[in-house]
Amino acid sequence: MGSHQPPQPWFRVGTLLSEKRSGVLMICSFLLPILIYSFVAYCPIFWGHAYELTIAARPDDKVEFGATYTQGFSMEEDEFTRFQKAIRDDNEKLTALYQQGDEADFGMSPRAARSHNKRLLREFEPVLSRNGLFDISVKEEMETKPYYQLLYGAAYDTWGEIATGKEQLQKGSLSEENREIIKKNWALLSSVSETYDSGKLYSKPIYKLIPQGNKQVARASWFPAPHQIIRRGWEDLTGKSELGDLNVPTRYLQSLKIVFFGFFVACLIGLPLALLAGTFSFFSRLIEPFTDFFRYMPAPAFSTILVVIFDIYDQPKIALVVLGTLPHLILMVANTTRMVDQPLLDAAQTLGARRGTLISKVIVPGILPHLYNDLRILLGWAWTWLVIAELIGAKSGLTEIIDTQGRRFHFDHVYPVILLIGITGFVTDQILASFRTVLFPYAASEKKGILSFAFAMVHKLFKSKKATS
Amino acid sequence: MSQIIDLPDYKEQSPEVASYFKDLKNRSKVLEVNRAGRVFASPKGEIEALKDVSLDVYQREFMTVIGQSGCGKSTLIRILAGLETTTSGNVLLDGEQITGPGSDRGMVFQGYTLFPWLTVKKNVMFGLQVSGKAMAECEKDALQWIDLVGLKKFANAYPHELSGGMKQRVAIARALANRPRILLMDEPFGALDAQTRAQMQAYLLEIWHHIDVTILFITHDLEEAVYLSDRILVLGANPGHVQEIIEVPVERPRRPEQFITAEFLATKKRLENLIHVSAPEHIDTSKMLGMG
Amino acid sequence: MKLTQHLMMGLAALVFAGSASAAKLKVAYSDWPGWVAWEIGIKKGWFKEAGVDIEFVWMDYVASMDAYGAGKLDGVCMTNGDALVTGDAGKPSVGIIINDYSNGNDMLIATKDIPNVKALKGKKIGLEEGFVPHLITLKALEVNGMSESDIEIINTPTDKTPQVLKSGAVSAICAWQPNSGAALKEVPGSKAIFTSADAPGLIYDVLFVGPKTLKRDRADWVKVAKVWYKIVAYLKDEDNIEEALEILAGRVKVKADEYEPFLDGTYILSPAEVKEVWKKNDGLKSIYGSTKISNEFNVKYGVYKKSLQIENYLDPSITMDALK
Repeated sequence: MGSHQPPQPWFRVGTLLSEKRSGVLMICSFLLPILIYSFVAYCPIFWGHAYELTIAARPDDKVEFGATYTQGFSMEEDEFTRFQKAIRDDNEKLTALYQQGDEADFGMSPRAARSHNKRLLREFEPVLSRNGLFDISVKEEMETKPYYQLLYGAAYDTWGEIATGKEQLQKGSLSEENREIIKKNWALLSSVSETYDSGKLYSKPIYKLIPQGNKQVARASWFPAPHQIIRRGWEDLTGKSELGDLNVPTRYLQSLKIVFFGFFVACLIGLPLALLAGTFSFFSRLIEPFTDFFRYMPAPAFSTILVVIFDIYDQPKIALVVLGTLPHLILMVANTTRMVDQPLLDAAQTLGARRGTLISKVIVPGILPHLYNDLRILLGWAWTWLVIAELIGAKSGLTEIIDTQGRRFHFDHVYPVILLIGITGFVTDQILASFRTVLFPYAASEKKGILSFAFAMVHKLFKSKKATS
Repeated sequence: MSQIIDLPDYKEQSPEVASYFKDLKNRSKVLEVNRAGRVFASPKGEIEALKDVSLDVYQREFMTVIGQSGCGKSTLIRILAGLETTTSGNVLLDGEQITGPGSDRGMVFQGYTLFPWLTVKKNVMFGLQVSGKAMAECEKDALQWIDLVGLKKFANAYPHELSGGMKQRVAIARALANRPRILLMDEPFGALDAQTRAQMQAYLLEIWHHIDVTILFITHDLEEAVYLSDRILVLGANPGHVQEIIEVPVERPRRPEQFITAEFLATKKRLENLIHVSAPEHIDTSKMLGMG
Repeated sequence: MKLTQHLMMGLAALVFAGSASAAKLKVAYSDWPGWVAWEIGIKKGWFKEAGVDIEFVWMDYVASMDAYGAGKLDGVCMTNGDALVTGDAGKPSVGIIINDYSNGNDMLIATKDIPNVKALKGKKIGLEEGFVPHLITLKALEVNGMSESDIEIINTPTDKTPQVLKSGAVSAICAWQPNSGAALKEVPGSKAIFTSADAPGLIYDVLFVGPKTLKRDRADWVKVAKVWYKIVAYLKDEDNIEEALEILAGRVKVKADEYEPFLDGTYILSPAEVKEVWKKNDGLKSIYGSTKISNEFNVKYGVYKKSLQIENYLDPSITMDALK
C-alpha cells in the first residue's frame, strides 16, 4: 500500500481533504465551541465566589431584602454575609421580645406566627432530604395536604432529635449555631406538643435558622455550567422539574405543529404561485415584484393584526410562520423553476409536449431535486420564526419556557430548550439531506452532512466486520 | 516525395449517382423553405441572422447543412423545428406552413437532452405517451426502438449511467419513436470523441437505411457532411445565406473506405474552399449574439 | 384535484380543531398574584361545578389587553387604571369582580446607589408607558414633590424589566410581582424605594368584561363571581396555604416558598371588605375614588386627553348578586 507515500498536507488550496480528515474536522467543529464554553464555565479565574444556599431564610427587613431567596440560589460573598447578619439581628430582636415577657408585641397574630413557624419547618426540607430523612419524590403520589403534614412531621421530629442530641446529621449540613437555634426552638415548640400537630402548634414566632451555603464558583446566571444544563434539560424533558404539567415534550409537539403547519400552508399557497411565476413571464411580472417588496416588511409587525383576524391560539402563530416564509418561498422556487434546462424543454416540445404536459412532465420533475433543497432551506427559515410566532396571543410551546424562565433568569431551563430547537432543525435538515440521494439518485450530490457521514461510518464498520468474520 | 493527385470536378457524377439524384428529385418535397429570414432585436440594433434562405428537402433525403460557427445553422434548424420563428419567408412541411414545434419533426440536439429522472425506456416512451397512445403500446414500441439502436440491455438504466454515445442513441430512438416526417439533427455527434463519432455515423446510416425517414443534419465537420449526405447546403455568414447546395457524387451505400476516393476528396476540397474563402478577416462577436 | 381538496379540508380541520376554543366565555388572566388566584378555581374544577362554561387563557398582561382590544376575549383581568386606558383606545369594559388591591407587589426598584425617590432626579427609569407601573412611578414622584419631567422614562415591557435593570442601562425600574422579585434577586443591592403599599388602593385589580356579554351572559358572570368568593374563602383558610402556594407557584413557575410573599403584597378582599370598596366614595378606599384618581392622573399626564365617564366602567351588581 502507500506506505512510502508522502503525507498529504492539511492545508492546500483547492484540494478536498480525505473523508477521514473531513470527519475529524466535522467533529471538531462541534467540539470546539463546547470546549470553549466548558472552559469558561469551569475555570474559576473568570468568576468570583458565591454561596449556593443550602439553608435559606427570610429577613424581616423587606426593604433591604425585597426578594425571596430559596435553597439553591447563588449569592455573592458580601451579600451572603449581610444576609446572615440580617437573620442574626432578627433573632436578637426576638430574644429581646421574649425577655419582655407576656407583654411583648411580636408584631404578628397567632395565626401569622403559626404560618411563620410552619414555613421555618418547610424550609428545613433540603437538610432533611440531603440526609435521607425525607423523600420528596412521594410528592408525586400524594395530595398536597397530607404531603405537607408528612414534611412538617419529619422536620418536627428531627428538630426534637437534634435538640436531645439523638440525631447525628451528616457533617457540614448544620452549623453549630443552627443546632443551638434548633434547641431553642424545640424548647418553645415542645412546650405545646412533642409531636407535630397542626392544631397544637406554638403560636408565637420561633427563631430563624441562619442561612448556610456552599462556597463555589459564581457563574453568571446566564452562563450555567454544561453539567447544570444537561441535568436540568434531562429533568425538564422527563417532566421532573417545577415546569409542571405542561412539560417539555408536550410543548415540543405544540411548537413542531406551529412550524410544520406554517411551512405546509406556505407550500400549499406558495408552490403553485412560484411554479406559475417560474414558468410564465406573465405571472412572473404579476407576482414577483410585490412579493419582493413584501418580504422586506417585517412579519412580526403584523402580529397584532394577526390576532385580530386569527384569534389568540395557534392560527395567528401559524399565520406568522406563513407570512415569514411565503415570500421567500415564492421567489426562491420561481427562480429554481426558471433554472430548468432550456434544452430539455426544447426536446420535450419537439416530442409533442404542450403547456400542461410541459409543466407536469418536464418542469416539475426537472426542478424536483432543486426544489427539495429549496424546501429544506425554507423549512429552516420557518424554524427561525417559531419563537416570535409563539409569543403572539396566548404564549405557547417551547417559547413559553424560554420567555418565562428567561425573565426569571433561570437560564439552565432556557438553554436546553434552545438547544432542543437547534438540534431538531439540524437533524431534520440532515435527515432530509440524506434522503435526497435516495430520492434523486441522478442529481449531483452535495457535500456530506454529519448524518450521512455517520451512516457511512457505520456502513464501513459493518463491512469491515463482515470481512473479518 | 509525396504526390499530389489531380482531383476531378466535384460536379461530375457517375451514371449511378446521376440517376440517384434524378430519382431523388422526383420524390415529393417533405420540407420547403422559401426565402426565410430572421432578424433578432438587440440593444445595439437589429441583427440579421438569416437572409433569404431557400431550400427543399425531398422524401427520404439525407441533407446536411454546413457552415462556420455563427453562420446561423442552429437558428435555421430551430426554425425548422418550430422552436424559433421566421421574421420573413415561410417554411412548409408537406406543403403546410409550420406554426410551432410538433412531433412531426423529431429533433436530436448537440447537448444531452434525455430526461435525467426517466429510464431509457421511459425517455423513449415520452413522446408516445404525450400523443395519447395506450401504455402497453407505448412500451412495446419503445422497446422496439431501443432494440434498433442496440440498447436493449439498458432499457431500465438511467441516463447518468450511460456513455455519451449511448445517450445520443437513446435520443435518436426517442425522436424516431414518434415517426416524424423529418429528423432534425443539430450537431448530434459534436460532443463525442472521434472513435465514438465514427461508430455513430455508421449507426445513423444503418438506421436511415432501414427506416423511411428524411434527415436534415447540421455539422461543422466536413468529412462527416460528405460521408453522410445526399446533398450539402453550405451556409454563408453575416447574414446567414445559402452559398451553394452541393450534390455529393459519392455512391451509396457509403463505407468508410470511400473517405479516400477522388469524388470524396473533391467534394471535401470544394467545401474547404467555400468555407475558407468566406471566412471573414476578423470576427465581430457582437454580431453573433443570438446566432449559433 | 380531489387529492388537493382532501388535503385542504384535512388541513383546515386540523388547524381549527387543534386550537379553537369551544368554551362559551373566554377570559384572559396574567401573572399578577391576585389574578393567578383564579387558578385555584380552575384546578379544582369549581367553574364546572358552578355550571359555567368558561375558559381562562393564560397570557402576558399587555398581550391580554391587546387581545381584548382585538375583540377576541369576553373578559380580561386588568387594573382599574388600565381599563380606562384600554377603554379610551376604543374597547370599553365593565369591572365586575374586584380581586384585590396592590399592597406592595408593585414596586419602584432602584439600584444600590439610589437610596430614595428623590435621588432619581435626572435618571433613567425602565417601565411600561401608559400602564400601572407608569401610574405608580408618577405617584412616587408626586409624593416626593417631583414630576415626570425630573426623570427619563425608557419604555420597557414589564416582563423584561429585570434584565434591563441588570444591564445597568437604567437606574430604576417599575414592575409588579413576580417580575419585581426577579429584579431584586438578580441585581444585588437593589431595593424597592416605593411600592403600592405606600399608596394602598391606588391600584385595584379587577375582572373586566365586555358590556355586551355582561348583558347577555349576566347569570354566568354571577356564577363566576360566586366561584371567586369560594376561592377567597379558600385562600383565607390557614390550612390551605401549602396547597394554595403549590397551585399558584405552579402557574407562574416559581418555587412555592418564593410565592408566599406575593400573597402579602396583594391584599385579597373579603366579601365584607369588598362591599365597602364598591361604595361610591372619594378617596382610595373606594374603587370609584381610586378610579377617579387614575382618570385624573391619566388626563394630567397625557395618557389620554379627555376625562372618561368612570361610572360606565364599574358595575357592583354582579358581586352583590353573588354575595346575596
